[in-house]
Parts: sequence; structure tokens; C-alpha cells
Amino acid sequence: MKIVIMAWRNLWRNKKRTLITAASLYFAVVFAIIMRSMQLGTYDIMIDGAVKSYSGYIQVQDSLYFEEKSFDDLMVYDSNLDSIITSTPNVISALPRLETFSLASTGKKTKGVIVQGIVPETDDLMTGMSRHLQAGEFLSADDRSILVSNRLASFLRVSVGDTVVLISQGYQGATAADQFPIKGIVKIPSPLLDNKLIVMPLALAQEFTNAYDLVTSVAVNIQEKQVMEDVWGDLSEKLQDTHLQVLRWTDMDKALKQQIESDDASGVIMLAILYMVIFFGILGTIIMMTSERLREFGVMAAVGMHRSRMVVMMLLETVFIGLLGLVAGSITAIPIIAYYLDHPIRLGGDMAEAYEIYGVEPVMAFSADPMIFVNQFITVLILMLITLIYPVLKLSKLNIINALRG
Amino acid sequence: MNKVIEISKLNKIYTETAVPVHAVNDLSLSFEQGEFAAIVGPSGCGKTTLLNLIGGLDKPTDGKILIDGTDITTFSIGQLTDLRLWNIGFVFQAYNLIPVLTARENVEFIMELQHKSKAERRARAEELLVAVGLADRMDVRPGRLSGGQQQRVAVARALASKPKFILADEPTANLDSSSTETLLSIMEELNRKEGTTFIFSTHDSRVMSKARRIITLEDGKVLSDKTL
Repeated sequence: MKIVIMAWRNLWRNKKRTLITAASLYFAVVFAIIMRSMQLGTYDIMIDGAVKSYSGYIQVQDSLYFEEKSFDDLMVYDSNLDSIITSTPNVISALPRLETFSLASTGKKTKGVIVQGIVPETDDLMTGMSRHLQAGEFLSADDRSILVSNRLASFLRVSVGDTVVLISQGYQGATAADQFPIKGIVKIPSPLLDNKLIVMPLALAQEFTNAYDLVTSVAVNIQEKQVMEDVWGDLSEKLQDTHLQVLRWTDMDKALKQQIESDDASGVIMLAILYMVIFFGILGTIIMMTSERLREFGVMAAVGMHRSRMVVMMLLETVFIGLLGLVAGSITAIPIIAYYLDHPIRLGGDMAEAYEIYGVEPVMAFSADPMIFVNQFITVLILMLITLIYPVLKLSKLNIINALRG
Repeated sequence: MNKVIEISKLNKIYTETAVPVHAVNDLSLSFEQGEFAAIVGPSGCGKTTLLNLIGGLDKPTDGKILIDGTDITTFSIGQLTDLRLWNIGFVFQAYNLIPVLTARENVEFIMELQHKSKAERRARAEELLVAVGLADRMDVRPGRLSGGQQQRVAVARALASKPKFILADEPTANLDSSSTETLLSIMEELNRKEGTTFIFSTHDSRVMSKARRIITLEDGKVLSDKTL
């Protein structure tokens, strides 16, 4: 117990130095936590925009369809497949979809669009599309009308009640062409999709494309994103002897995955540089704390204290400094993150345009993932342990006579 | 009487210097339980080196040092640390108390290393601090004690573990005459009461006058060994 008291008191022998070292750690921790929170929060927005509100975290597709994206490689969605998917742990529901590319025309304007057929009630439970309605009403399964994404509607200059003509390729070479009244205008979180999505009931889409009972994919609505890998593993095992393939969002949207990975890597490099600078500051303090107490270590060794206990004492001192910075930094960062969780920073001007070019909602959101804090704790404690190498080496070579001479 | 320390044909040659220095030269000596002995001689005669070798702080070039019949010259660093913890008390010229601990905590420190109970540590520390006349300064840190008081705490610390012998290297060198007188009386009293062997190195005639045995060194050899 006394060793703990000694370590604590040793810290305050030079208050200024301890406080300056802890303060440098404090600022690094505050910066690191807020930066990581902002990065991960923004990734969540990007993933939610592109994944949760559109593709889903997991999809089941025909193997050929995934490779060729040919409308002739559709799959049958029946009760057997539905029960295989929905009986998998952590799966809420299976969402059959039929998706094709089409030309949308309103007479004066024409644009290439994605037409997506969905089961409105169940699909909405995952995508929450009905919450983003800008005008009109959400779809029901037997509707013969469509939803148009907000920016597409602006481009086509249409509103609720207007008619859009769709021309596309149907199943096995059939021509698909029809006109559909607009039931609602919906804002899709991903700007890229908001520019080109038309949604209609699945039955209507199958009728439009002549692909009765067929779908392009089945999106799997899962409990939470953290269970994605488990569900993917379970489903892949169940469907391994079929022509179906289970895909994660990272398999389906490699561009988004790479964009997040490269941004994440740059963030980690920046933090590594920051921590490297802090590390040398802490190392300087530890070197001073060791060197100025060599005589004291000599006395302790002379009266019968083993060097390993002196190392433990130094370990406690470095851990105390680290904890001071970590705890104070975390206490400062928590209310800042809590505020921005409820008030994400909405970007404007050129910055917003730049985000939209990449198909990302121009919002800087924050994440409260506990791992952000845990990772900072682990990083700082590892750094502190590395700085201990100096006192360990110094104490292992301690010459008691020389140390006592001062 | 029981021999606590037996030194035979001990040599210590420092080779790190430009010219090798033979600090202890074929020296043989022994100390018995309860002795109050002073090692005297001019600067550089080998007093401190001899104490360092007996205390296991330094390794001899050759020769033997038996503590209670066990040769310590072959001990590892860890074994020497344990030897010092359980058998030897040290009093240094510069006091060398641990500055972040109070007088009481400094005395308790060694007993804590010996894993003695809190009650036992506390009782022993108080007993010793009362004995050295610091009953009212127990909870004061060394920085607020005078040199004499610090050295008295150092003596209490040296005795705390109930060692077989205490090695004191010039314990009065930094003290005024009044503090020296007090310290010597306390050490004499504790030597009588606890039966602990005291071995000093000193230049101080006041210390020599209290010693019951005076060993004079010259060039690392015993010039004379008188029991008074």
C-alpha cells in the first residue's frame, strides 16, 4: 500500500511538471476523442444514408446477378427462402426487392433512374422512408402509383399527382413501358440516390417488368449493425449449397467502403502523429523523474527494496499521470459529444457541395461508441508502458554506490 | 561471543581509474554480537569501501565475507538485497531519508518491505522514534526536520528491521556538536538495549571516544585494532 502512496506523492514533488505532462495528455485525449467521435459519427451517417436507407446491411442475391447485374438472372422469392432468412438469429425480416434501371420522362425532362420495387410496409421498418416524405403519402402494397425522390422530382419538375413515364428492359428481353402517377415525394438521405430513385410496390414492379414472383435481391433487416458479421456467417452457411449468395454492404458498395477506410486511415495517422508528439513529452518527464531520483533509488536498494518494486512504483506514477489526462480529457469530451449527438453540424456552401459530389449527406455527426474511449485508454496506457522502458533499463543497471554518491 | 561478521583476506581493487587503486588490501577482521566499533583512518584509507563490502553494496575483488557463517561474496543482486533487508541497517552521512514519507513512514518503510503487520510496524516505529527523542515529530516529512533530527530518524530506520548489525558511514559528519552528542548517546543506548552491533566509519574524535573498539586502517590494511 505504501508503494501506491509513495508513487502518488512522488508525482506532486514537481507539481508544475506533472500538471504540464497531464495537461498535454488531456488536450490530446480531448482532441482524439472528439475527432474519432466525429469521424465515426460521419461514417454512420454515410453508411445509414447509403446502406440502412437503401441496400440494407445484408442482401441475398443470385450469384450471377451479383456478377453480371443482368435482369435475366433474377431469383425466386418464396416462403421457403423467407423462412430460411427470418429463422436466422438477429434477423428481423426479409425484404424482397426488384430493382432495374429505367428512363424516366415527364415530357420536357428525361433522366436515367433506379426503379425499386418494395413491400412498402415491411421495407419501411428498415429504411424509415415514410419519415422522409416531403409531399403526398407513403405507398401501400396494392398501390399502382410511385414515390419519386426529392431531387429527382425537382429535376423532372413534377409533384404529387403528376405522371411519370418509365421505359426499361423487362424480364427476358421484354420491353417495359408504362406511366405511373406520383403518390409522394420522398427525401433519400444519400444525395446520390436522392437524384435518381423511383420506388413502387413490388407487385407493380414485377408486373411492369414482366418478372412475376421474381426479385433481384432480398434485403435482410437485422437487429443492429454490430451483428452483421454473425448474420452473414449464419446465412452463408445455410445457403451454401444454393445458387444464392449472401452479401454484406461492404461487398455491395466497395466505393463507400474504400472511402471510409481511406478517411479512417488518414484520421488514425493524424492521431498517431499527435500521440507520438505527446509520447516524447511524457518520455521526457519520465526520464527526468528517474534521473533526479537515482540517489533515492540507491537508498531504497541499499535498505533492501528489490528493483522490481521500484519499477512497480514508477509504473504506478506513469499510470497516475496517464489516468489524470485520460479521466480529465474524457470528462471534458463527454458533454461536447453529448451536445453534438443531438445537434449534428449541418454543412453549407462549398463544403456541402463537396460532400454531395461524393454522395454523402452534408452533415458532421458524432458517435458515442464506448470503444472510442476504450481505444484512447488503451493507446495512452500502452504509450505510458513504453516510456517505462527507460526507468526499467536504468534501474536494472543501477550501481548502488554511484547512486548514493549522487 | 557469537561472531556476526568474519572477513578474511579481503581485497578490493578499483580498475576503472587510470591507475588501479587497491582500496582494501588483504584485510581480515571479525565483529561480534553487540559490538560498538569505530573504523578510523585518513581519507582514502578504505573505510567506506570496507563498509560497502560488508553491507553487500559492492563486490570484493577477492576474499570472503561471512555473515553468520554464510559467505555473501557469491550472492546475486537479489540475494544481497534480501540480506540487507533482513540483516543490516544503514546510516548514511547524508541521512538519505525518503523525502515523500514522514518520519514515522520512513521508519515503517523497511518493515513494510518485510511484510510486517501494520500494528507491528506502527508500534515499532513509535517505540524507536520515542527512543531517538522525536515523539513530537513523527508525522513530519524530512524536509521540515533539522539535520540532527533527520539523522536520528535514519538511526531509527536502521534499527526498525531488528538487524544483526548497523553500518554507519560518517554518521556525524554533517552534524553540529550538540546533535552529534545526542545522536551518539541514542546509538549507545540502543546498542545496549537492543544488543545490535554498531560499526562506524568516522573521522570524528567524539565518535571515537564513545566506541568500545577502534580499528585503524591505512592503505586498505588494518594498522591497529584496539578494544577499549
